[in-house]
Amino acid sequence: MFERFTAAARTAVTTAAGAARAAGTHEIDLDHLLAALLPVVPATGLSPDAAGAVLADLAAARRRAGLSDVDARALAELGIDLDGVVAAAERELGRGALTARPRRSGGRLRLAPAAREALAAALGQARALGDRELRAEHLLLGMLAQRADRVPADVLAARGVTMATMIAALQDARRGAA
Amino acid sequence: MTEATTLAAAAADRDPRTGLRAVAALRRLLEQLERAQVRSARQAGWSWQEIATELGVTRQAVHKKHAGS
Repeated sequence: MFERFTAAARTAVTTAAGAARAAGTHEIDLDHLLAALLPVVPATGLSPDAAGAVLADLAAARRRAGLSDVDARALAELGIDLDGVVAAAERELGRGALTARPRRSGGRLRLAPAAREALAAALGQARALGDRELRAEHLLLGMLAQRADRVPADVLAARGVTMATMIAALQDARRGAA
Repeated sequence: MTEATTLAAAAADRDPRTGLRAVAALRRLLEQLERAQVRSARQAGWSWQEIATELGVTRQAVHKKHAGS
């Protein structure tokens, strides 16, 4: 699967693996991948500060059961105050009580299911864009395209980064280069 | 506008996606709450059977789902 990766795309996956290991988990998840990709994908248009804010938003969403602002608004429509539930659980059970954690904590380092889906989707994105190589940009597109874990896409969308803005930026870059 | 047409307009505005999204979010919230409460009960020395009784499921179900987490 990795043979068509560019050096930057390989490095991003290796960096994500290092972050997973440093965090003491045995699963490389989308959060690790996103942290590795944001600094090397200028097509997001995010400044370093904004990229940091995206990662902070993501960590905050994970702390409330892995739910994004979109989820929180949907729950509010039902009369459920997500932040209230999280605060009550943390009061009773301690800080981070509802943090969505990877289930696996042993064995060989491997990709979390959502990260595997993101990689598969990245190959599809590269093909759809007519690219022979798999670049870091495609990995980010794959992350936005996969459906197993919508939180990173929601968090990015809240900062103005979507599939559409990414593809437009990539096409602009290509026109500029041609 | 009559009340009926106001209601019809409001219903048409409602996006099914929001309701479905809320269900999915609630399920994930429930999963995390269950995991946190079971972990806490185990730390407090509760048996799998006692936890299962409170959750209204079988001992096997709760053990299979939460043992090792």
